[in-house]
Amino acid sequence: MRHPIPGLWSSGSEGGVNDRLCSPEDSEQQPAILLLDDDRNLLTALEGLLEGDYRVISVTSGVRALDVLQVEPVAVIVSDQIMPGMSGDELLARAAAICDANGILLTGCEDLDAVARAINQGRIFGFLRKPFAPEQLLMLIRRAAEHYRLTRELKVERELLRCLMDSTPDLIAFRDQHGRFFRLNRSMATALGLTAPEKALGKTLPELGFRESGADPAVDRTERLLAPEGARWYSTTRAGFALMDGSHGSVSISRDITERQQFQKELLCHASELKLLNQDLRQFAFATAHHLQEPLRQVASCLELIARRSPLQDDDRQLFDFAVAGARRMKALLRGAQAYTALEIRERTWVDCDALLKSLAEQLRPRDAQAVIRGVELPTVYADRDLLELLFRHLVENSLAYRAESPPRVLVKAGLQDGSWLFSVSDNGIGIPEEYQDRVFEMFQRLGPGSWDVRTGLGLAVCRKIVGFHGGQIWCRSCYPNPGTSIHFTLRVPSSLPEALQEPVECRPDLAAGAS
Amino acid sequence: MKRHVLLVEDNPADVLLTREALREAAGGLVLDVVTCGSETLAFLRNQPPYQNAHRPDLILMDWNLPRMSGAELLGALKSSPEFLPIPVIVLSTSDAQSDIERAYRLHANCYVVKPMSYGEFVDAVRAFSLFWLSLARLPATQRAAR
Repeated sequence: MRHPIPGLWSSGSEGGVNDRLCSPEDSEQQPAILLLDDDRNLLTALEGLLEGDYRVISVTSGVRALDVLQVEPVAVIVSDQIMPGMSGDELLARAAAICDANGILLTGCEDLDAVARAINQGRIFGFLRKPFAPEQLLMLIRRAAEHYRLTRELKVERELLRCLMDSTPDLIAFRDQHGRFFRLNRSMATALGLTAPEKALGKTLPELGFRESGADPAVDRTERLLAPEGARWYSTTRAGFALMDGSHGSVSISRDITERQQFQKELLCHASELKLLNQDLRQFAFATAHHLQEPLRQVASCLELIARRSPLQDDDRQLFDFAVAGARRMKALLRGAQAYTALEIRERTWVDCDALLKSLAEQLRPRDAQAVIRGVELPTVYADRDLLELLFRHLVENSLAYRAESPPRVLVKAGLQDGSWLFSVSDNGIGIPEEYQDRVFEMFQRLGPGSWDVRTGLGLAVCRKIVGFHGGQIWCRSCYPNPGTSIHFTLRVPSSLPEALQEPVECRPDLAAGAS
Repeated sequence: MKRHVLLVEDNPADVLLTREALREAAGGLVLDVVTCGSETLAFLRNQPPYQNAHRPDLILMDWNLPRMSGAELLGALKSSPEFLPIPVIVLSTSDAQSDIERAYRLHANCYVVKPMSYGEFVDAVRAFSLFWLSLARLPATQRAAR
């Protein structure tokens, strides 16, 4: 609702208008306008003109206006020039010192000198000479409010940028097309060995004593800056930009990765050390087992030659047999240890445990025709086939070796549990006393009085190693002296596999649909 | 005519055992013994002190030799046109596939894993002697020129 202001500053209703704030609920959206005039009627008329589009604050003196400006964000100040106490141009000059509000001066002909002064000093946004049409004032206020908004936005942007640049430990630098710094943050200055960012302005890296990396300006790369205390490594992202004046430049953000680089280096060092050590250990174990067999054979053979040359008495014969048996056993142990140290994963494939167990049962049939070896719903797992076969072989052979009176029965089951396959190999054999159930997985531990010649006590140690290779665990349950042992082990199901290695899907939807 | 066998072996106990086993199993042959690769080559080339050495019909060599390894010696023998025709039997404690394969790649004529017991060793010596010294026809050997 706009109405002309009759007779301009014409006298209207007397008094009653206090300094007040309008509609606080829309203060967020609406720009605040501060109206200043000693004529309350005029204020009321102007309020009516502006309300709805702006939040209006009316005051009647310059001192009061300054009070308001201290606490209120005001976009535009509209002030009469002729005021008791403080003139309009004086108020606007003082307001400019404490806020960003744009000032509009309303004057009569007699004040033109003051207006000219105010304009020249850049303290007012515009002025209107009385009398004026309400549209003129509205237009001017709208422009002043818009200018205020843009200025604020620019200020916020600038503040955000300053915040960003000052708070980040990353090095940020803007450079022109000649590589001269025109904006940089404190971190960058520090990295350049300068006490303040200003010291780098207008200079290039070589001028500051650094080598130019000559990098492709849009590539993330790792580069080195030779700081005073030594070389440091940075991961740098660069971007080029063009400015409105036609010039162009680049911005770079560099993150100090010297420590990360060092950690990485150390980690790599440790890894290769460990690898070497492990290799060494394997070689040592293998060579030891290998070379120890030679003197052993010598001992056994020479003993035998002695016995051939001079026939032994019964007592001596028994001692001789023990000596030879000892040498044989040691050889078996060495061979076992050799095989144990040589264990390694060669190739993982999909292995059908069901087929594996069936073929194993077939191979073991000649050893014990009465034995029943059965698997229940065994899965196809991603593992090293040879190692998995060795694992099942050791477990089933143990079941056959440590059988009870009744014919051996071996049952292999599997199920998914916590993302792993949980296998169990159970038998009806002699079982394992509880106190030995952990120890049986150690090297050279034997489950019971098996044949001295062939059982080395390495079988379950081998099993533990194989299961470990496949990210699993192995343990033993036996209700000794009740018959039977259960060996449980897990095999980790790989979380993700290359496409080509995914288990083939056998279910074909077209066939499934046809069957129903 | 007596067959000549050259044994390359550095372990005196093994020399004794092999000599004993050959006597027991084969008999009637002349056994010369050298202890390393360079001696072997000197022996075959009739270099001092082997000026009067007889060219062997068969070489038995240990795989685990000091200095020049068994593989190196075997390589040297089989890359020489002169010594290539002499059958070489490798005797080794190792039953590692890598060793066996390496020996045959270097043209070993036969690879025998030394058995654990003396009795089995005699059996082995008897078996390869029978084959290489009786059954197989070998190229004619020549007495040393000097």
